[in-house]
Amino acid sequence: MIRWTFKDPGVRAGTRVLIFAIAAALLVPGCGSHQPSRPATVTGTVTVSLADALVYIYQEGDDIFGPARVISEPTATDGSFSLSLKPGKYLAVARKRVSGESAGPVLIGDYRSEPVAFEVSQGQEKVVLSMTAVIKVSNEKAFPASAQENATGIAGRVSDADGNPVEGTRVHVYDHIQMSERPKYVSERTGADGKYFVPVKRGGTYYLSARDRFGGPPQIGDLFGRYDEGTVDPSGVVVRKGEVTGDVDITVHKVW
Amino acid sequence: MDLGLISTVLILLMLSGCSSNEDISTLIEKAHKGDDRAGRKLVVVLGSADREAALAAYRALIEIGAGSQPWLMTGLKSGNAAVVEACSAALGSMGSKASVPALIELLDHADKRPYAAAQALGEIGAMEAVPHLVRALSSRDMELRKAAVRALVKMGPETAGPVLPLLSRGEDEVSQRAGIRVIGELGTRAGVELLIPVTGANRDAAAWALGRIGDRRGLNALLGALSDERWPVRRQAAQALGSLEDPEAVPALTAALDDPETVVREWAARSLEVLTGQPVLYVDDGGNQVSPYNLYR
Repeated sequence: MIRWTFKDPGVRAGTRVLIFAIAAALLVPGCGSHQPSRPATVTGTVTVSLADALVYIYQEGDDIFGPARVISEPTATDGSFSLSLKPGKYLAVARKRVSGESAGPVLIGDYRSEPVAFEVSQGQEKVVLSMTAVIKVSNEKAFPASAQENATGIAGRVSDADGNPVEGTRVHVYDHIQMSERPKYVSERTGADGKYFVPVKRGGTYYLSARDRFGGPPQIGDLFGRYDEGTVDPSGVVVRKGEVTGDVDITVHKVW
Repeated sequence: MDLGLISTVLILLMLSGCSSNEDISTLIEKAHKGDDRAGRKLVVVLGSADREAALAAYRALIEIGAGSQPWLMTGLKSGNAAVVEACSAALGSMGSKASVPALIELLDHADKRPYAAAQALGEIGAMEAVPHLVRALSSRDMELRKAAVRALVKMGPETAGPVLPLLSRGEDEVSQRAGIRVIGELGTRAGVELLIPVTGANRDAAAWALGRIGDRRGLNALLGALSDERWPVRRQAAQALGSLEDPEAVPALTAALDDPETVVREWAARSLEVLTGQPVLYVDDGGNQVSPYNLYR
């Protein structure tokens, strides 16, 4: 059993901070028997301030801006929740959106934690983790030049149909041309200048789209665009190791 | 008061002239009954910054169908580019033949998001628009060029004839590249002899198109392109030779496994796998012999 506890440390200067202390202990069965794939039960408690928070579980290597593998039920007024996880390597992120929605971007005023990596081993029943969730206070993005030095990645600008930079979109990077599965990489949300930078682990041929909403195919009203040169299929962007392929500009249009 | 509420109030005031509290749902209801004034107001809402209101109006106009076309065609004359874009899209999805002349006219209005008109013409399949779309392939507006390419491709092989002359216009690399895209997407075999001599910045696009067409006449040109000084050309050639599926390319692609550029080696391995039916490894950035990952899932 994995036990999670969220505690509220109070308010810090300038920023409201809520500390999630996710308590879990690792208990390994002593009999040496193995039950592969047997899920561990995850339970815990969240402070009153974080009632209705959700805990998102991703597998190692997942894009944490994409759909989660498991999402907890909203934490109760006493902060308790329960999850079942099979053995594996995971990332946990706590989020609480003011809108009450379980998906979509985390906006200014929402709570979010940094991802915390953990592992559930065979037979493991309890884990102790801690997460700090802060209120998002700004959409400001900073891409210092140093971030791209010696990096392998893709950079460019997202603009609208009139050529104006678009704020608040993310660039999704796929390694397959159908762009149908989970993106391999996702950029931070663009700032006011529409610029983005996506580091990638290795050189290769990638396919890009930009959109303002997550999940599923683009819907009417969404802003969506992909990188192509006027072809029916998306055009591949070649990235060389140790270089940033720049000026990969994407125009987003409203989907009608 | 939040911004969404403020914008909603402003829209309602604009729609009502401050004299009534007619909301979107009322407008939609009236428009469904054929109320001309309500229909025209819904078209105005298409340009609203209120996303939900604009979407509700759009969906309603589409649902109304043919009855909403006169309102939408009025919207094509709007000074609001967002309204023009939405009306173009709606008319295109309806296949409105009556809107074709107005949509063609929009292709020359850079401030009215002409890409949407090009896209709509493709959806409608308006063959009378072909000369205008071909002309749009030379536009400085990249979005319009791209939309014109897709529209011509969507309209089918009959559009290739007027596009072919663009392939010989090496002095205008922008329109030549757009033309190459159309011919490649359409798989127009008549384009092969025009693609082979393409020089300059469009050599990579020409290699791509030769691969798309898949005509053996392009083989020697693609083999030569494998030795091009520019790696993007070599990369496209390596990819295109796989599409040609001609075993004569095997020795050259095997040699390309030693190309100094990783992505060229990777595409050579992919194409060799297509040609030989056997897994082929290449040397990646780290010096390891690896299989290319599958781009098609």
